[in-house]
Amino acid sequence: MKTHNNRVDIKVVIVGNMSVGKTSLIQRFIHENFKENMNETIGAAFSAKELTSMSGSKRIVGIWDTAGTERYRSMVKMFYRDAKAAIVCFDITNKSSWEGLRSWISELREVEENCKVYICGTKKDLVDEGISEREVPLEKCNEYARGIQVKLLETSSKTGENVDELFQSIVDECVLDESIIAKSSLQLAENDKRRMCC
Amino acid sequence: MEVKRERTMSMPPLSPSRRRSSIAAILAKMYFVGDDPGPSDGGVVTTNSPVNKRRVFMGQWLPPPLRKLSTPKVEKNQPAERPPLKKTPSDKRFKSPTSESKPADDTGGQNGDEADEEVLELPPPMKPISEPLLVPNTEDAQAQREQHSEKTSQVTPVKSPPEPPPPPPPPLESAELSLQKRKYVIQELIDTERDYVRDLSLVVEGYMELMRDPERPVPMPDDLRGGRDKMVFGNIEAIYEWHRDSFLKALERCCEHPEELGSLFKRYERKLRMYVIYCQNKPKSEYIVSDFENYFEDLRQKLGHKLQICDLLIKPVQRVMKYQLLLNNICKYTERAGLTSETDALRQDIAVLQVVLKAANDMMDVGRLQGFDGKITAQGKLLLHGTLLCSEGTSTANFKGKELVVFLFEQTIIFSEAVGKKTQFTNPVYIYKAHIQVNKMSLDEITSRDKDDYSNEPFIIRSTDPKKPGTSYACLPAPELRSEWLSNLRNILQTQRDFLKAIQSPIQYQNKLTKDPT
Repeated sequence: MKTHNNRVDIKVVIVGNMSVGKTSLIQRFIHENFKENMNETIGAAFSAKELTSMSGSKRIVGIWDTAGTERYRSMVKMFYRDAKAAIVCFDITNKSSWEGLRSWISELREVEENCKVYICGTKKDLVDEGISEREVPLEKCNEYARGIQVKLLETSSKTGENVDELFQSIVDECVLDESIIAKSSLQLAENDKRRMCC
Repeated sequence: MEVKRERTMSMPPLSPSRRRSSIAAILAKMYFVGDDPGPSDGGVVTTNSPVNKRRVFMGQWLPPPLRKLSTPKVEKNQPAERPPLKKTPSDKRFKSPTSESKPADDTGGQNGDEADEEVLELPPPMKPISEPLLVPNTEDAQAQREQHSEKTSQVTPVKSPPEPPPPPPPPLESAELSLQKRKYVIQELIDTERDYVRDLSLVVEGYMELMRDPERPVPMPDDLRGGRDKMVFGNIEAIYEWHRDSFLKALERCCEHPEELGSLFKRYERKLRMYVIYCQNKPKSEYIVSDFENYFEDLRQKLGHKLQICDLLIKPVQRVMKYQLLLNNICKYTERAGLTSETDALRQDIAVLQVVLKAANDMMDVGRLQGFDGKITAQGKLLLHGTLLCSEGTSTANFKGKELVVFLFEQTIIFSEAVGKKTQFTNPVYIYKAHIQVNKMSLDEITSRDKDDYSNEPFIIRSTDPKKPGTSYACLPAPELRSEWLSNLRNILQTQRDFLKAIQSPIQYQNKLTKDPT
């Protein structure tokens, strides 16, 4: 029983420009903490956590850290394979990270069409606490996300705001998908049976 | 502030200097490769790079006069060909004394370290013993050492061009604190290296061993036998053995002797190049793994592993990417601690890594090339690749090109067509159309028309091979890339001409070289 549970059910990749806080986001989600001036540079190459979906089924979410690959786009593509969801991050206090967003998303869609994309605006606490100025207006983000029909959340890995919500919605939607696929394949199977009978 | 610095670091440019290879190497290659590329082996290479092997061969193949002239030729040619590149490193050297003098007051104690480090640069102390598989004979080891000195000169210009190293940041914290922080990062480097070696062992001593087991505890599908089973793993075994036997130990020593870290990656550049080959094979490996998903799942259950095979096979890609992050941090703290020469050595390490990563990144695309009969690993380094507008034939009137993906290797130029943007696997596959070996290639540039601006004029690459007279393409790169393509092509052809001169009348050629040292 246990061995079966070990398997990762939902593979998630986290991408985005350098220093937008990809590793911190993972750290917050997995360990529920935040390290100011992180002593660790690279964090875990792979981490996993079990979440329960809205419908009550449990899923193991596995996350691949892509930090360090930002400039080597052909290499990043290797990480996309079979990913069910991708969190594309930008730093709301850094305009150029927002400008990089589009290329990340189009690349993802090119390689893994069926991968669900989530946009994550990071470092919300810096704006909320007035430490840094927001360089990317929320309106603009929402408009863009609506346009490409993608969910957008602004998170803070420092306070944890919206981090669980982000991963929760990934699990919920993936589980929902599974049930839709299961239903349609069941239907297909039934259709086949009927045809066989005749 | 940290953020800024990372962003401003530029991609290692595809500097032409990296492509500069000595006549000797070219001679050796040409002798070795012959007229047509050999049969494909599917791109799996588990040993050293072909270039190194050929270098070894050279000594036995060439008549003595040629062997001799190859050396002065290189030294002579470099400054003449590319003065700006030569300049930059020396600029840097001028800079270092000033930065050295800066923190002089609080680093009295560390000068000793720097001196130690200088001494350490000389011979890699324990390498030859620990790599029996990869260094089969002493000749090879010799070639390896040669390679190192050659690489040194190749890497420096790549590292320095566009921006000089950022000025040392104002001392935010005491040297002691910086050293303490550096220690943490070094410890992290070592700890994660141990994890990595363990992960690799899961592949090599887990999957590979199980699949080789003559008893076949899990029956292998027939389709997977006879080569494809090996393509799944590429050269991961060689990577594993190197990390386990050499690199981890070298890193562990750095815990007590952090000054040894600088230049460590540079010393092992040739080994790090194994990652280029690994990445090149990775798309094929992925394809096979997904074809035999059930089989690998059975193996996983038998092994009792938590991770699936594809999660383990991505580890090398992940790891080689992380080194630069760790080194950047180590370098930052070393600089803050005022250890100038160690900082410089670390910067060179980072440059080496960037060259390797860039090459791996480029070769990933080569891995998607299908239908080329030759051995892709025997075509020399990939100098340039990209999409050009091309049309067959030599006419440039009413030029209407079609987008072709063109790969320019040291020995061959390959034209291919991107097909099937979205497959289940890594997207576009490049279908081979034609290739021209550079020793049978000519380049026509249009200069006769009354125009000031040629940037929209295609150039023509033509085969001079009597066996395939019709092969020619008019090519038009994007305007911003035009000069890069042209200068690469011109360089290659010039090297060819030099080579011809040398081989036709070696004595005159050599005399000319010795008489005309300017």
